[in-house]
Amino acid sequence: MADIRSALAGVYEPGRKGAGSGDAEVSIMEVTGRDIVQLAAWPDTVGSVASKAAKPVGVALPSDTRTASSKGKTTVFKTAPEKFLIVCLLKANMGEALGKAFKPEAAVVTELGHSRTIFRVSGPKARDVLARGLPVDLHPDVFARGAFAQSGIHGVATLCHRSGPDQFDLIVPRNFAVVIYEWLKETAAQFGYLVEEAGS
Amino acid sequence: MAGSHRIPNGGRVSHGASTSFTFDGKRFQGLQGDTLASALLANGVHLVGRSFKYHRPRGIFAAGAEEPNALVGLREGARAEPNSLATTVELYDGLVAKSQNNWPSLEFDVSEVNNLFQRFFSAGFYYKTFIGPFEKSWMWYEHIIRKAAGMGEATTQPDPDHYEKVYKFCDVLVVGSGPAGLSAALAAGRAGARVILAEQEPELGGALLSAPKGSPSDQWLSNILGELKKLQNVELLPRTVAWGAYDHGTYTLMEKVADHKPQPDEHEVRQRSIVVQTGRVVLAPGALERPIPFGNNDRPGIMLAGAARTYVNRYGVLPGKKAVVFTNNDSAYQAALDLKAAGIDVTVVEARAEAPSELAASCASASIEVMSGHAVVGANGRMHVRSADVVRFDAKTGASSDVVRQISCDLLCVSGGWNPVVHLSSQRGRRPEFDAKLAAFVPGDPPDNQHHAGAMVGAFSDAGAAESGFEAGAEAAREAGASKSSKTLSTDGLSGADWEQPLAPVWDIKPGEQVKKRKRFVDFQHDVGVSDVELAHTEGYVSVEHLKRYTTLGMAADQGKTSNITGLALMAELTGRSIPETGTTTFRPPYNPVSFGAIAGQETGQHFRPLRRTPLHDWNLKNGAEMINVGAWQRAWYYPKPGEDVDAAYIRETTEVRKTCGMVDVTTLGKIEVQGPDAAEFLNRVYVNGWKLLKPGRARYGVMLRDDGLVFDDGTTSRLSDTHYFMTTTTAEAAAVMSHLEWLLQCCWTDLKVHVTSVTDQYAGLAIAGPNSRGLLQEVFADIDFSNEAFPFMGVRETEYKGMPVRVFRISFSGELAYEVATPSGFGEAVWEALYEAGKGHGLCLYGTEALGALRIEKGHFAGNEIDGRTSLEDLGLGKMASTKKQFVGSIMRQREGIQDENRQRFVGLEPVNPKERLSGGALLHPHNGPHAGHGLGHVSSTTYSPALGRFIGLGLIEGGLERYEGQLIDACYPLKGWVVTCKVVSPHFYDPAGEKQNG
Repeated sequence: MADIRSALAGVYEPGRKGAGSGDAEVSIMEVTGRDIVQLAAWPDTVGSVASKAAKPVGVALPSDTRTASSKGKTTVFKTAPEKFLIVCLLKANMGEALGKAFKPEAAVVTELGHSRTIFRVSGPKARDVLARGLPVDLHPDVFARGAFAQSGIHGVATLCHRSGPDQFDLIVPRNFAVVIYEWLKETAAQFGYLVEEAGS
Repeated sequence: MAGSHRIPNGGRVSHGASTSFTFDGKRFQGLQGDTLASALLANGVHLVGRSFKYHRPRGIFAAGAEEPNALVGLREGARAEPNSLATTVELYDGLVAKSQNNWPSLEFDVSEVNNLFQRFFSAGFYYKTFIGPFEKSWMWYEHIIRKAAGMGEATTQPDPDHYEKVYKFCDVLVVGSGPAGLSAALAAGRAGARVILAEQEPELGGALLSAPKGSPSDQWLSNILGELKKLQNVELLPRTVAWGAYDHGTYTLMEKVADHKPQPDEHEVRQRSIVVQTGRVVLAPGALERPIPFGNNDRPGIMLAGAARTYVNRYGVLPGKKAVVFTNNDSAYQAALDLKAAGIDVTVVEARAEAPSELAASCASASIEVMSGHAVVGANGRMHVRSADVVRFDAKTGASSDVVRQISCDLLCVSGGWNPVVHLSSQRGRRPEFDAKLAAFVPGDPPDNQHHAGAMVGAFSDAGAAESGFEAGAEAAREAGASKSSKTLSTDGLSGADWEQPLAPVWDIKPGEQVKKRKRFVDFQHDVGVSDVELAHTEGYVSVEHLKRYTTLGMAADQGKTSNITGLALMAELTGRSIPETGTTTFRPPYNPVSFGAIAGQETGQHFRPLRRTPLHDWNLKNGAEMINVGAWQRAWYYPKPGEDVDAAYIRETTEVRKTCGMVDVTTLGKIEVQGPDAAEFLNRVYVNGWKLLKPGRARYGVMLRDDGLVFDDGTTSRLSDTHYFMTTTTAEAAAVMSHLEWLLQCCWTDLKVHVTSVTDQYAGLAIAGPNSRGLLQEVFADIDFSNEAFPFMGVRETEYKGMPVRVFRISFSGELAYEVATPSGFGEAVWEALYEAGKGHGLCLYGTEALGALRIEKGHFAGNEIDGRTSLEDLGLGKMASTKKQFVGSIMRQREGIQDENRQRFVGLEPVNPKERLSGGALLHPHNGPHAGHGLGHVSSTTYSPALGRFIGLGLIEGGLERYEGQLIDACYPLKGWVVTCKVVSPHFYDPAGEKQNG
């Protein structure tokens, strides 16, 4: 497989920046090595497709549009009544597997791996950073681990997923990735932040 | 000691922490905990500004956000900020302030001459004075008036500080931190609700902070703050004003994060705009004292009684040595007693016939003279109050005697009662109700999710306010689903004295026949007096809203916090109606002025709106592209060679494309995957032409109409398999088309099994155009047969390049033999680079949007300039494209008579008679040598220099189109510059009209 050029290739710069000098209270990381595939069924097939897809996807598909289901590095979001967004490792060849598993009469598969950039924002101040752009209540009582929301930051459509106690994954359109990267850094500067090496 | 008028160790300020500041260049000392106003008063400075219209000397009148006078310029250079309220500005070491609206100095202001011409500056004076003597007089006066109007001056330098927006969520939002607000937060917090408490001042406590230090209420305050700070679910936000109330529990707050410092710390924001989404709200903002109009009631040294008490008790400042306290209610007695205790000589002028006996007794034992049944009819002294003219007064009839007793004083305190702060309730559309007993508007039944507590609902005693707050907080928490017990509230240490009752409403002290007439001000900030309200009345104004606009009463930064009710009451009296019959003005956000910086937050400069970059953005920049903003995108505009400007570059690029070949980044075109068993049927319904017969591996040009039958968008859509199409849209309409398609599927044709997915970000797009493009692509994508027979015009092929999937479309925007290549975005640069390198052997040039436009104009393709929301298929020459065998969006409405009218403006080409003459986009088309008037016959929509034709050309829309005008001369007029270019109307297809190049 050829190398995928990150949307952040020209600007990504790991290091400790912003206020203070000790451990940064926020970490920002680009999550790489992921593929994103959309599986879209029809009103009369969504139930059967969801159960049948569990095997090729590797995890049971979620039934509601507010909680993701995850196993290992595979996460599935139900983004619309009949649509699932599957984020998995590139090597899973998910698009091909699902294309084989479903005829268009049951569900259609759309490759979206290059269309999104994934940021991981973590640390004790991660929530405070996101609160400066994301109009979503991230209090753990209402947005527990696994919860996700499709909203926006700075005018850019953003899917925010709580992937850990103090850890959020942001899935944003690739062509706006630099804007969100700059926004995250500028907003996190007051707390002090660490840009981690991009990784899986 | 910081200031000559400071009480040793008095007040709640830090006497150990002296801070130095300047006012109008003069250096003073203040204390930490001071406001600028208290620090000025501590130095004996009362005169702080000049009034808006008459330039009258003005002093500090209040001790909080209701201050109408003490607007000062703060800071210097890029941080200079006009109209800062001295009464809310926290003092810091090094603070620089200056007075406003005076020249040459605050003490001697030339414009005070305006004061002598008061009768000319009455209500509506602009309208009356500047309409004549000539028709255009206003134009002449306007710039002079504009120069004279306004207060202070904003800096033109960029703001060096950062601002931000924050979203917060809670179950109960509490506004205000007096006894009511704190108790509400405690009740809700104990119940387990998520609570945010917003207090505009730096210190929590509200009115309790105005009680003498060491009062029993101090212990209560300390206890409740201690408990609140321990509650993890309660967030206390001092320095944060709640300024707006909106639908569904949305409230806007503004936090002054670093306004109390010379400048924010590194990485610190200066102000923060907070949007709170809350379940319930407890409003406990308190009440504001109102003045009573009397002659020259605006002189420095005259202030609200509550404010004087605050300066003494909270800031340890003596605002005077000899005070007259003029009141119509009980609350001012507390001020009188506290002033007296601080060593100020006090006389109380009581408008009511009798002072309440208990208070009279307290005054007697404190040696305070109480003059019952009296009123202050006027103040003497110009730069500072020197004495008060006191007359006998009957509060029931408003009659005052002609016998004046002059009482010397250097401080004149006034209390006309208290107005509950109903703003955030009123903002939700709840009309305040008049409470005759309080002679004030109360909020009435709380709107939507609000609860009201404390002085806002007339609970004027500390203990009463706390109890009402606690109850409201507990109820709000319960409604928000917090179920723990709030337990009970201790009010030990809080006074139960209801300090306003019984109040005698007094709205104006009219001087008797023999008494000197002086201006009696209602609204200090806009210099509106009783006489202006009277004038408005005699000129026929009845509605309060009209009164406000005509007299400007209640406008400007304070929005009439101390003047609205008095103005209203005066109007009621004049019209012989009751106050409730007269009505009240509606409050709108913001409660206090909010800086634009806070509202803009991070969205400034480069981040004014998000910038969209194509996957080739970095490469384009690295390779010398000049960029241009196209919607949210930045696109390569042209690639200049040394010495080239945009004209030279695009002409070269256009020429090279036609001669050899060129490559352009077209990623910005909208891309949509259309998938599902009913995809063909779906396209058949959204496009005007037929789609069912298109075979996989083929592309087709399509046009969509809006419901009203006008053209919406166009583009090429390819069939990749029986159930999978790849649609392209224009750059401009990509999002609109996507949501249109989603809407059709979700709301209109729910039976169709089709999904549409935007893949604009998934694929990089590039176009290669020109006679050499075939050879270049054949070299790079060797496993595709690019021969015309194997890969004809409108063909689509898929392949891989070094493991990277590639789709090749043989389509043309330029009229040349051309291809478009789509590859996943992460491979975009690699594929582009491969073609660029290989292209060196094929004469490949790079071209930008300027050349792209020139090529399409030469070819006579319309674009966004022509698909402008007003053109029909026929207007664009596409009438025959519409299928007659099917229905599609817009198929009925396009048949309307008006749209089918042959006289409509239709698409044509334009050739200037002089080939070197440049056409201007937007120029109006008028008959040749005919009248160049009105909207003309049409307009020029696109223009370029055509290297292929060696002349300037244009596209346009003209009534009757080619049928009427082909070959005729027409004048393209650009009235802004007086340009007239005579052109011939020709077919828009200037270049290769037969299509031999693109099809060959």
